[in-house]
Amino acid sequence: MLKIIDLHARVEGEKEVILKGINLEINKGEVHAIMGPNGSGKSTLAKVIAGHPAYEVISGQVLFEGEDILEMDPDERARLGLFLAFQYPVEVPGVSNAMLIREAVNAVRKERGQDEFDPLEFEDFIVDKLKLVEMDEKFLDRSVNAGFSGGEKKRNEILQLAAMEPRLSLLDETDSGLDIDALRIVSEGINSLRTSENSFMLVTHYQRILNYIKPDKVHVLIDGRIAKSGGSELALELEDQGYDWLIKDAHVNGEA
Amino acid sequence: MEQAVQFKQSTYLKDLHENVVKTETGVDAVEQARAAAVLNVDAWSFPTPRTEDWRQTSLKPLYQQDFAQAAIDSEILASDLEHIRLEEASEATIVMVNGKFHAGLSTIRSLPDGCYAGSAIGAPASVQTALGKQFSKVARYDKDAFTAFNTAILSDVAVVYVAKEVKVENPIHIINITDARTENVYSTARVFIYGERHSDATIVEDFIGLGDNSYFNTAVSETVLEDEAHITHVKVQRETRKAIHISRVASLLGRGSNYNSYTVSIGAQLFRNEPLSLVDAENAHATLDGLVLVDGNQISDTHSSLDHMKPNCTSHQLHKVIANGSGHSVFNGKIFVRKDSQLIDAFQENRNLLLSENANVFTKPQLEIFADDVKCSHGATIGQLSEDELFYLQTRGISRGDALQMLTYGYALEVIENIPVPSLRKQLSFAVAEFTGAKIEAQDIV
Repeated sequence: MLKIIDLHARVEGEKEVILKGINLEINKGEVHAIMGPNGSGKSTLAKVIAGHPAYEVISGQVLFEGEDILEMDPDERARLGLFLAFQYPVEVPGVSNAMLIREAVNAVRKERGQDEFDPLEFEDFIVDKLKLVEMDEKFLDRSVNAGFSGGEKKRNEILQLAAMEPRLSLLDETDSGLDIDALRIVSEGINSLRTSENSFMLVTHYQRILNYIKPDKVHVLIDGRIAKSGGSELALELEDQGYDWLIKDAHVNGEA
Repeated sequence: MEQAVQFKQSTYLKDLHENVVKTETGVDAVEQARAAAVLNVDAWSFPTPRTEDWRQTSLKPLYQQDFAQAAIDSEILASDLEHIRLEEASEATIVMVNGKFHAGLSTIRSLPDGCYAGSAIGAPASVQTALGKQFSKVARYDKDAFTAFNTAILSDVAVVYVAKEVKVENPIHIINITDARTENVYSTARVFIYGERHSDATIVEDFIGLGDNSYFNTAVSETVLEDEAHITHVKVQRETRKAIHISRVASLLGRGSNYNSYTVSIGAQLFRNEPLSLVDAENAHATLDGLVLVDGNQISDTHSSLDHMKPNCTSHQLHKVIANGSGHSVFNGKIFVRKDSQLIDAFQENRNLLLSENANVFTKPQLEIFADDVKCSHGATIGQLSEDELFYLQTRGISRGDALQMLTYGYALEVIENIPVPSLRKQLSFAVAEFTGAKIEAQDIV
């Protein structure tokens, strides 16, 4: 599904390199968690994969279904089946949620050679997805994320994910700022969308969400590199011991 | 040669005025105002490019053309107005054709007791009294030849009168239509709105034109709010691209009153708007929001004045502009806080979105604060759309071009979504979508 080879990246126009050689492979049907302390580059990794224009890829490859996507615009990547759920979903005043999601779904459907939905067909389609994230229909008529609470914004991201039916979903700290109810709704939504055909990459600072969504693999990012990979038990270890022991190891390795 | 043009320009309105065939209204207050205005048209000079408030906007399109007086008996069909009718206002729509009340096209039914909507001519005594007190006294534009010209030649006044402690549930729609089908014409639109104590109403003042000829429209409206009155006043300028629309929108606010005005500028070749809010009592609030769309070679110029004459008041002014093509927008927002007007909270923001290299905008917030315990914030930005918003939409599979259109549409909607008339919001949303190229469906109207 996704193969990242020796990826180096930085903020466009700046010297400091943030991603310093990432290697990662996510297979079809797998859920991978990317953990790490603040500033380790985990959000940057998600944004670079999605094609954020503020970042410059210095070297390396990102292959999605075998195809190098680094030259593609973010919308092309999205239409191929790559989805990014934002850590801070953007407010778009004046544009209704229904308008955005319908256009998004139709963009994907067109790419797949399916007929586009007219507004009525779209309403039928979206009703089930709303139930999944326990959102009221009135959210469709409101401006995208404008005046939404933190939890509502995150649920709205999962609603869009559900509607666009991506093959690979990058969830950038979707758990941060959620209360327990919202976390449960979001997690259950994601779990019910898991199939043997799609994959997820969860970027998270805390182990908490992994109590709800069991990852196949956990990777710890320290200073722009994957310092350690393991099974879901690694997340529990981090919960107990924090990141310090890995940071020390990384420095020792770096100096050696 | 230069001098000849200058000469012609400075006497432009005076010359036009000399040839006007006037139709008296028979309304005392109006005729008294006219008598004074006739002298002022002759005495007050036409602005030149050296006039400070006219430096960014040239009146050449006006004084280099000839205009004839618009006929009073122009034949307008109901179908000419169909596209702008507001379903909520089906029981209170005033139609003014070339400045004159048109009974056949107007529908005025079932207003609450004591309220009135229609022509000043033949209006009930309470309305005549209100006119006597305030007509022509709210439009305090200093030595302004356009205001004088309007008052000197008007043939009618559209009046909305809201009685004490009455809330008029449905909006009242005033349609001003100018007929330029046969030749270049000029006309005057005049509106007088009066809200008694504790009254509440929404008035939509609308401007359209017919035909392919140029026309020159001077529009003056005056709104008086007695204590605790709530008036929402929407001005929709959707004239043809051949129109020159010079507009004065004055309001006088009583104690605890609330004046919410929204001006949407879509049409006209040249639009000059001068909102003037006189906040002359305590605890009052004024909103002067605006949305301007310009493309082609359109010019839209807003020179507003918000005068905090008394303490403990608030005001809000969000003025948004989208300029495309070679569109030209000017914003000069004056806010005065007088010496004894303490505890004023005034917000002003002018945001300009430039969509093309040839579009240009001028912005000048102008705060003159003489009191020392006030909160006044102001800001002016000129820019493009946010990259974060564009990226967000692109990650949803939407192409950059479509995302730009969608965001431009959303940017404009911030002003429109506060207008409390759903059918008007819908009409304006579609107009914005057409301007921006965004694809919207009826269900998308926020």
